[in-house]
Amino acid sequence: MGLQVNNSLKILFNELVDRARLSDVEKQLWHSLIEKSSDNELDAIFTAVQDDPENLIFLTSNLLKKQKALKAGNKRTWSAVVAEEKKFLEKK
Amino acid sequence: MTSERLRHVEGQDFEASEEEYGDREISAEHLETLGEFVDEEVEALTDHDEATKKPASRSFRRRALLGITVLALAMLSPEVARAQQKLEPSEQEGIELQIKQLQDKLYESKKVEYAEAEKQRHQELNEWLSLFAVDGLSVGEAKNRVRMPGEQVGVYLKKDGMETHLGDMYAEDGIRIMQADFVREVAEMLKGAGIEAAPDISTELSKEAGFEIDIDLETYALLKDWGWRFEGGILNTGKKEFRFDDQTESITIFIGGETSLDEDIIIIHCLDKDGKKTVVKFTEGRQLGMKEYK
Repeated sequence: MGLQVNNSLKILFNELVDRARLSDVEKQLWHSLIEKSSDNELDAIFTAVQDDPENLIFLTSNLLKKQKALKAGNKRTWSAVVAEEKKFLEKK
Repeated sequence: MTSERLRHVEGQDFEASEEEYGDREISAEHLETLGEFVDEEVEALTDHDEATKKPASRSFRRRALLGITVLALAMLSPEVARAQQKLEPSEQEGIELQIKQLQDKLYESKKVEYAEAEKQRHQELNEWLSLFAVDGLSVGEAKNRVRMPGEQVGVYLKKDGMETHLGDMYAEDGIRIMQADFVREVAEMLKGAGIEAAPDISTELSKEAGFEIDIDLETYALLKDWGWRFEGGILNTGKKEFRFDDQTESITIFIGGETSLDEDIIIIHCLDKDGKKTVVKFTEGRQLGMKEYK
């Protein structure tokens, strides 16, 4: 089985982001996050995106909503985000 | 992720959120709310039905969502920095510590998820190992882990109280090791260890479907290595998981709960009772294409 040591998580993740159906601003955000985060912070997200690239669309929206809810300390918004997550988990 | 590193990221976004929520600062009360948020999410995403085997993709998604929260918390750094400017040094440390504790809590939750998923996966891999009928064979942590995404497992053999590491294997697709690759790698490891063992996946294939199988030499050699037999043009695969569909005139091969045969190694030439020949290609257990020729 070929071992591709050069394909680090960050390179592969950036490639997935480039191919994703996201806006340029969203792609730029991900590229920044990928650059500034550790592999440990990114591995679970990367695996889900590699499993199904469409997951990145939901996760991007999820990130932005969470960021807003956390910043505002808005409980109602946060609960709505969590409810969406439960539906996302039920997805086939 | 440090506050400094995140300033750039935060700057790109999210003017909308600034407008909507104003230039808020992180307060002790706010931090308490964030703690409640994290608890709510961890509780909501925790799988309370551990007895049921869940698809791997669901587990991937659950861990990813917790990972997103870690990033979202890190993106609060500018607010934390602003708040800290007005605080005494001891209070500044308190805020940073609390944010870190929230992130650690999420990491811990992810770890539990990982551990459960890994336990289930090892059970599955050990079932595949049982095809070889070699006592003491088991999977575990890869001895030589590499810094790359995807599954990494080690294969071990316990004999006379001594455990030997036979080798490690890594997911080619960066996610999971497929069964065909796993079986092939284990066969090679066992061969390297001087143990002759082929996976026990041979039973009779019924000829009732009216098809005979003619197979190219390369595939023949590969499948023969796996212990499959070819008698009178009939492929005996084992576990009666070689299925012919009369309606679609297609053939599907299963070698376990999850089918996994590589596109580039499985090309089966079928000759039906009327003399029609068909080439069937498989990839990861799914029929990739079927082409008829005369």
